[in-house]
Amino acid sequence: MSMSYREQQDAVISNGFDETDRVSVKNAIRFRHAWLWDLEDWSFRYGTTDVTFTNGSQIAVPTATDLHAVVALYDSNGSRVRGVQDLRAFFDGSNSRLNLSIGAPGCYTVVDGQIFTDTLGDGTTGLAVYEKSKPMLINDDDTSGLPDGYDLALVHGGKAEMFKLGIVPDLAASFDEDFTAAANALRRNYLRQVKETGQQLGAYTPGQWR
Amino acid sequence: MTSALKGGSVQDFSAGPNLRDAAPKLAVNESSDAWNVTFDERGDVASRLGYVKDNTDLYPDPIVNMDWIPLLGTKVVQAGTDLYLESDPTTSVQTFSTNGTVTFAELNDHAIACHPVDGIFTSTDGSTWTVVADADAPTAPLCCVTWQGRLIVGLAKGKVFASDFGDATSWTSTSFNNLWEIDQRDIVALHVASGQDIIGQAGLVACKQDSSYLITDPATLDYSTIDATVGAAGPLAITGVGPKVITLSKRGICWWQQGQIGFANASDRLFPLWQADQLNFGEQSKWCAGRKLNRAIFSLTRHGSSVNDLALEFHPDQDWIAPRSDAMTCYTTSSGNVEALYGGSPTVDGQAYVLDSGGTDDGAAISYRFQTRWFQLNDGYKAVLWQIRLHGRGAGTFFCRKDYAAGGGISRDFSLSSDTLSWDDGLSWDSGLMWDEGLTFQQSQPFFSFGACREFSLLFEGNVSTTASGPQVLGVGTAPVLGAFGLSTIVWLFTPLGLS
Repeated sequence: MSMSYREQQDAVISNGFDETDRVSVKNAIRFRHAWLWDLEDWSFRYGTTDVTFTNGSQIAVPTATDLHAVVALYDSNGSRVRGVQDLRAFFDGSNSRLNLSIGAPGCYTVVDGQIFTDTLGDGTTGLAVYEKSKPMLINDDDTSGLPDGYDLALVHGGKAEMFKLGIVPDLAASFDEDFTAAANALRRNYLRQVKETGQQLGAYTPGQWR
Repeated sequence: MTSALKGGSVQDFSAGPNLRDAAPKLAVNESSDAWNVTFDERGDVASRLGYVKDNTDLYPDPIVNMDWIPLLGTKVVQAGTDLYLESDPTTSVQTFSTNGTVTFAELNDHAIACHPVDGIFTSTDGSTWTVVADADAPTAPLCCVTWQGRLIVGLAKGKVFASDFGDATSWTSTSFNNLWEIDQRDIVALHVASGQDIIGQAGLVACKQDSSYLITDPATLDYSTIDATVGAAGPLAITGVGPKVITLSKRGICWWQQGQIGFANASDRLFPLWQADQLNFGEQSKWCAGRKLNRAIFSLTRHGSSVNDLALEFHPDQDWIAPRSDAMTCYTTSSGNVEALYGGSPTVDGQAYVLDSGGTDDGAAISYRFQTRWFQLNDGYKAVLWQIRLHGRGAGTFFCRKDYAAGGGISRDFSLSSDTLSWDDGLSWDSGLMWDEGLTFQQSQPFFSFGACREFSLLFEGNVSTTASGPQVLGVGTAPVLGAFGLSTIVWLFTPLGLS
């Protein structure tokens, strides 16, 4: 069960800081959250979502609200829609000023979190594999998006930051160690989740003719 | 560049407040300020107890003086011009011509009341008082005391008069002495000195307002000067605790005992108080003293007040003085089966109180204040004060003042009470089942994040209307009643910041 943002704050404040430090505590937790989120290409940063190719619109709408980047997109038939990283190249051929036709998309690009397709949507639903945006820690009941059990890493990190800001280096060090240990533990389990090797077999090489 | 976390603590406040010296020079057990607190023999500080009404029916006039007379087993109260027995505050047993302060004594089955205008009165039952008719008896006694089987009275012009042995109604015209070694000013206060001098003589201390004398012979009233500058403010401004005779005067609170050369001033640390712009020396005659157990209590008039409005509690063995608001017009201590301290109200006419009783001043919450001395963290260099932990009881607010700030400070509310059972969350020290931690008579609480400073001082403030209980004595019976707020120890942790 995740700790809420408020619970994380309270845990940082407990036995170390005062209620009047709460604003600083929030900043410290957010900093350590961003740090940990961006530290590695964590597997928990990815997910799948339905994408609606809205009828008559160039913009496809994902069901997920935390889309940061699209890894792969598939149309309603399961066919892959090709991604175009070069925005100008994409819009040179496909933009709303052109007379686009309704139909299955052939390619897409992403601008500011919005998925643009090279056709106008036909109302069907596709599938996207996507990278999540970092959860925002603003409201008290917000959660970190970290795997279950790892929220305490933010508490340790928050305490470390606070002790650094408060110039109590002795205590900052031990909490920093815990934070680092949590990051290392995450690395063991959350960098890749396909555990099979998937190595290609070697090509057949006929033996020497005799 | 910072170095390791360091700490400090203080757990002895036994010297009380020092209002005299510069803040950095206070001794380790002195405090910067105190109001309505008291101290114990090991240096804890606590909010004082309050007072409750002694009489339901008011005496008709302001209480001038009262005395618990063992012979009568009751208090005799002077309210205005009249005397009353405490059993009937509305029926006068003696009316004098003025409301001048009556002083009391007892000798040979007679209670004695000395009025400064009307003379000496005696009574065997407290209800009927008779003026001493002996033509040789002094007629205007300013103060009186029983000593060595005689009634000794102090008079104007430095005269001390002694009755015949064992009879306060019989006087011989020659049984007096003039204490004129220094001047001819009035004898305003008398008190028996405990012990004997170096030649085995007992002593009686006689005070003028600015000098004091030791009378060593009840027959001749021979005397020697104890102190040429310290006396007593008035007839009520003298008391005794153990071997010490303690006076209140415009010199301060001073004590003397056998073997002591001159009076010792116990109030030096409150020296700035003893100035004409702080105290109303014109009302010295109203200043009074009392005793309960091993402590003395005094009341006096502050500048601008015509009635006593400042009380000072004094511990003669530890020399601390605790200022407080429960000033009285007079004090007396019962000496029956229960020793209680009584006082007369300076603001409610005809009201007497039982002091050191309950958590309020007759229903009004008691506002207390206590400020520690200034603690230097890093030899005067800057440091970051991370944690302060209080050990004590009660609730209130404290302010962490930094770098000799005269006001303000970082405010924190503290709650060291345990007046209800507290229940843990099932994860604490016990078996894991929900279980109470029990009542405690003291707790500790940490506070954090006080920032950078060179020195700090903690100011505790609060209003109390309840009392607390200490642990039972020897495990049984009624637990001692304590002030609701108590401070035992302050512990702090800080990080030195370097040489800045």
